[in-house]
Amino acid sequence: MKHRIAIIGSATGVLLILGVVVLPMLWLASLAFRTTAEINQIPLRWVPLELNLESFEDVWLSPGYARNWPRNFVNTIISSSVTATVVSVWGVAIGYSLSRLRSRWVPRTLFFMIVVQLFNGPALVVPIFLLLNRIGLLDTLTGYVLVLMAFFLPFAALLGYNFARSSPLDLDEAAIVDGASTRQAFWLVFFPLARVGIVTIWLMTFVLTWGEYPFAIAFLQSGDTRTISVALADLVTQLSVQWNRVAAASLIASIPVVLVVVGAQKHLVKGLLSGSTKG
Amino acid sequence: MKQRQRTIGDPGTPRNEGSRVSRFFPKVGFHFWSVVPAVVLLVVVVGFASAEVVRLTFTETSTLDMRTSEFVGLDTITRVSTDSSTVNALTNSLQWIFGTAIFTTLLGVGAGQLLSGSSRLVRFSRGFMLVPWVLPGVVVASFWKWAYNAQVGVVNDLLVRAGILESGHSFLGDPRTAMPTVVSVMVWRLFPIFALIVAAAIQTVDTSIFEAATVDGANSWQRFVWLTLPLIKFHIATMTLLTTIWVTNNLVIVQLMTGGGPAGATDILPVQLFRLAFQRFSLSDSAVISVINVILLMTVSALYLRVLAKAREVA
Repeated sequence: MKHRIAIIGSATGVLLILGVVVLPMLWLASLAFRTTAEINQIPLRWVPLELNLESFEDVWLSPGYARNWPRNFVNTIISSSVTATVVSVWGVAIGYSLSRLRSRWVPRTLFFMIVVQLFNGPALVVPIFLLLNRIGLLDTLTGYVLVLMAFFLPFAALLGYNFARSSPLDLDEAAIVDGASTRQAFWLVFFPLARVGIVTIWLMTFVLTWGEYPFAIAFLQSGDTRTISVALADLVTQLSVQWNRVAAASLIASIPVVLVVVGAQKHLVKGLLSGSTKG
Repeated sequence: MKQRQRTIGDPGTPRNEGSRVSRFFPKVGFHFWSVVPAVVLLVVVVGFASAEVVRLTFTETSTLDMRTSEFVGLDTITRVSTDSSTVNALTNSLQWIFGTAIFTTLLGVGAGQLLSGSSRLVRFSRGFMLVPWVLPGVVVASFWKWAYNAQVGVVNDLLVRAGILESGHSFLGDPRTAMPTVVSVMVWRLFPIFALIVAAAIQTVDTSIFEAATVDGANSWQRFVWLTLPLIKFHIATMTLLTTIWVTNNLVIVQLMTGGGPAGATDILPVQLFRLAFQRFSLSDSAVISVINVILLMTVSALYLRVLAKAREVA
């Protein structure tokens, strides 16, 4: 009897947690399909009257002054994909090297990579803003992507290191004894096995850079160069916010990351677990 | 100057590395080119940027006219660090950080325990735990800004329907409730993956010790506190530290939900940093806040690690 109560209790707990986590997305979907009159109605209706598409049209199909959502979406795809690609391959290469080298510099380099990540976010926005301005890359996707790559590389390298360390040394060691260069050992022996690690790091980097905010809002201001983070921020900080527009924008802005979670859950969890146990 | 490279200490390792470059530099090869440029890049970017931040604190530099940077010694630093708005921001940051860390840890551990089972419900639910963390910060801030809205938000709707409140309360507009409200949003964003990691850690524990404890008469609460917790405390500690770091540097949630208001009630250091740089147009003032925030982060991390080391000694 006590056992049954315990089971019901924990099931309730799990359902509660699930609800808290999932309902916001469902609410956003519900809001996105409402008319403006409905949105401002008190008391709140829990089910929308009909599936109205005016918000989607307004946000995504009608660009205006300093507003170009489709372009912003594409910008974000470009910046996140390019960063993820460069950083995942390079990160795995670094991880491989650090795991195979025997040098007192290896732990120091790893420690350095960890410490550098403390500076992510607003801390270094100001000097980088100055630098980008000086070299003419302010308000350009190129400048933004370069910054992202620099700041996500340590993250990727650490994940790559964890991954490489868990790969058996024998295979590439054997290849080296057989006369292969380190480069050959990496590309021909290790890399095929590392593909999984690269995919994991790619997905994690993509997901983390997709919603990146401080650098985007500081460095990208024009309607044409913005990412969706900046565009959405603009929409939600107006004096009189139109919540259905915000919801429609948020919904589509979330699609890529939700797809990644749904499709590649195992990768993300693996990446997270290896990252958190790096001690 | 650069370190001596050695591959897997095998005396039979061939010296000829194959690529043309490494024939010119026999000590250099794949490992060199993968690691060294990365380290150099990071040292240059982070090192240069940090040095610039420090240099800026000794100047008076405007965002509108970035070329002219007037050296003013300690003026900017003293003015900004003693300003009441800075002290306010520091206090708020401390509340923000500790409030979020404590509740995220509590909820994360509790939820992690619940999610460590193997029932179909639990396995189904675990997948969704990634969503709050993975969603763009702007989306999270936007949703909750609506949800806590006094007139049209769902939180007030529920509270009024349940009879707890008479009419909608402006959670974000009331200086007394604003900080707990934004903390709740950050906790919502972080506790699910905290739980996921805790659940994964719990699952690696050998179930036989639980069985033995049950035979000895321990109830589930006792098993949790005296068996589970000690075994996963390292994972909990790591996640709490990571949470603290993420939260200290987080800008998007507070900036989009309250902009630092009302009346400075939620003005945390990152928000103030941005305001000084891009609304008050003073890069030098903003730089001082950057330094303060970094010092705060280092101090909190160091204190935390010190506590952790002590705890490990005792155990």
